[in-house]
Amino acid sequence: MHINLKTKIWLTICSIVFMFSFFTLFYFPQKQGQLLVNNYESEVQNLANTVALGVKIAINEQNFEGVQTAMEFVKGDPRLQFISMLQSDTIWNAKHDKFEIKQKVFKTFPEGQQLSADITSNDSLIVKNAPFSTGMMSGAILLGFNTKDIEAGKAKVKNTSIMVSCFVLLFGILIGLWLARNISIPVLALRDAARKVGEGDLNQKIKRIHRDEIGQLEKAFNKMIDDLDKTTNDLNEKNLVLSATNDTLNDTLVELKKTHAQLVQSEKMASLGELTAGIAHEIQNPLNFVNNFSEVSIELIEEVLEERAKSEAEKDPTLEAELLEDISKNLEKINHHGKRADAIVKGMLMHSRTSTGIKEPTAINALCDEYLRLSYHGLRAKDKSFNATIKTDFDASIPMIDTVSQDVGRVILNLLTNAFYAVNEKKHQNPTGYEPTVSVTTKSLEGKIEIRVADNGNGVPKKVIDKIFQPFFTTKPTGQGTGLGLSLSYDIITQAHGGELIVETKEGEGTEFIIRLPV
Amino acid sequence: MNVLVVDDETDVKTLFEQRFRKELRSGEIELHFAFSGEEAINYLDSHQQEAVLILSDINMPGMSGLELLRVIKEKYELPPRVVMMITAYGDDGNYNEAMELGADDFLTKPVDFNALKEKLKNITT
Repeated sequence: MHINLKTKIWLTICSIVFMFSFFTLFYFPQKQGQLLVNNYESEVQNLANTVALGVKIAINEQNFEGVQTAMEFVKGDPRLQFISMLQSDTIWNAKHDKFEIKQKVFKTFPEGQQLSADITSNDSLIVKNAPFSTGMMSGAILLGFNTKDIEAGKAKVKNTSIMVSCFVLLFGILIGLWLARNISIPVLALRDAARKVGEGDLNQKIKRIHRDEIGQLEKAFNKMIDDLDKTTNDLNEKNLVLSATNDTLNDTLVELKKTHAQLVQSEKMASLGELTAGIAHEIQNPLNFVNNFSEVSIELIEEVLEERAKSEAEKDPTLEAELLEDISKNLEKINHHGKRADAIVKGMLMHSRTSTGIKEPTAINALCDEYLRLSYHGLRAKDKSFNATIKTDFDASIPMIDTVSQDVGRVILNLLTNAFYAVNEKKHQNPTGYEPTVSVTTKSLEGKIEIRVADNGNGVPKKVIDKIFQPFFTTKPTGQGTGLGLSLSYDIITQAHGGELIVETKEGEGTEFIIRLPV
Repeated sequence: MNVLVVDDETDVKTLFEQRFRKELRSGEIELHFAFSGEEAINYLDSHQQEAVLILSDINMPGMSGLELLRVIKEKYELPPRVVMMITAYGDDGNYNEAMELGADDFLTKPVDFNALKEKLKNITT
C-alpha cells in the first residue's frame, strides 16, 4: 500500500497522541484515584485509632468528659459522616464453654442517627473501625467519613487529564502542521518543481530555504537548476552557431551541386571536343559512300538509257536488268549510309545535351559499336601514330533494356577512351611483340546483361585501385583528363541504372571494366 | 592488272566493283578486297607471284594502312609493289609518313575515281 509522507507524519503523531491520551485519560486518573482512596482510608484509620486511644485513656481514668473530648477530636471535621462508640459484650452460653461477642452502638454522633454496628464502606462512605480495650469495657470506635472530597479530587484529576489530553492533542496537531510545513510541504514543492523542470520550465527555484537537511536539498536543487539553465543557454548558443554553420554548409552544398552539374556538362563537352575529329571522320565515311553510290547510280542510269537506245541486235539481253539491280542496291546503300550519318549526328547532339534522365529501350550492341567507332577514330584523329586491334564479341541474344542511352554511351565511351589510352601508353614503352588490343564483349546473363571493356595495357597499380572511382582522381598528365570520367560512370551505372561497375586488373597485363545492368 | 583494295568498310567492295564495272567487264582490271591490314598480308602471302597494285586505307582498326605499307615495303621487295594510300585525313603528318615509308601515291577521301583510273592507266603503260 502506498502511503505518502504526509500521511506517515500524521499517523505517527496520531498514534503518539492516542497513547498519551490513553495514559492521561484512563491509566493515570485511575491510579491517582486509587492513591487518593488509600490515603484517605489510612487517614480515617489513623483518626479512628487516635480517637480510640483517647477514649481508652479517658475510660481508664474514669474521666467521661475525656471520652467526650476524645470524640470531639473529629467532630469538627467537615468530612465526618458519623462517629460511634461500640460496646463489645462477651456473651457466654449456658455451659460457659462458648461465647460470642456482640457489639452494639453505645453512643453516636450526630445523635439520633440509627446505625448498625456492621456498617461497612461504600462508594460514598468510608467506615473504619479502631478497637480499644479497658478493664471496664472494651469496644471500638467506628468512624464514618464521606468521600465527597475524594470524588471531588477524582473529578479534578479527570478534568486535569482531559485538559492535558486536549492540550496534547492540540500540541500534536500543531507539531503535525509544523512537520508537514517543514517536511511534507517542502518535499512536495521540490517534487512539483522537479516535475516542471523536467517539462522544461527552468524558472522553478525554491524561494524559502529551510535550515535543515531539506534546506540543503533545496539549495542543491537550486544549484542544479542554475547549472541546468547555464548548460541550456550554452547549448542554445552552440545550437545557434551550429545552425548558422548548417546554413552555410547548405549554401555550399547548393553551390557544389551547381558546380558539379556544370562540371558534368563541361566533362561531356570536353569528351565531345576530343572526339570531334573522330566524329567528322565517322560522318565523312558514310557521306563519301552516299556521294559515290549516287554518282555511280547516275552513271548506271545513263548506261541503261544508252542500252535502251541500242538496236535490238546490239543489245545485251541481261545487261539492263543487271544495271537496274545495281541501281536498286546502290539506292539501298545510299539510304543505309545516309541513316548512318544521321545516327552519328543525332548521337552527337544527344551527347552534348544535358541528360534527360528518361530511360528508353536501348540496343546495347549497337550502342557499344557506335561509341567504339567514335572513340577509336577520335583518338586516331588526335594521334596519328595510334593504333590498336579491336576485338568485339557481341551476344546477339541480348534483349533491349531500358537505359538513358546517352548516359550509358558516355560510360562505354569513357571506358574505351581509357582502354585506348592505356594500350597507347604501353605501346610507347615499346615492349617487343606488344600488340595493343582493346576488346568489347557483351553477354546476356540471368536477369542482367554484361558489357566488358578490356585492354592489355599496363593495368592499374594496386595503390590507386581504390581511388579510381573518386572524383578528380586521374593518372593522366594535367590537361588530359578531368578525373571525372570514372566517377561519373560509376554514378551513372550504380545510381541511375541500379547496376554495377567493377574493375579487374593485373599490373603489367591489363585492365577489364565490367558493367552489369539489370534487364 | 590485279588491284588489292584494303579498307575496313565492306561497302567499299560494292563501290569499287561498280566504279570499275566497265574495266572489270573488259577484263582490264581484276579487283581483290581485304578488310584489314592482316587480311591484306595473308592475301599477299598467298599471291606472291602476282603483280599487285595495292590501294590501302590508312585508318583501320588493328594494323593500320601505314603499318601495312611498311611491312609490304620491307617484306616484298620483288616484284615491286605499287602502294597507294587513301585517307580521310589529308594532313601533312600522314602524307609525310606515307612518303617516307615508300608509298607510291597518296589519295584523300572522297576518292576521285576518274583521277584514280587515270593513275592506274599511267602505271600500266
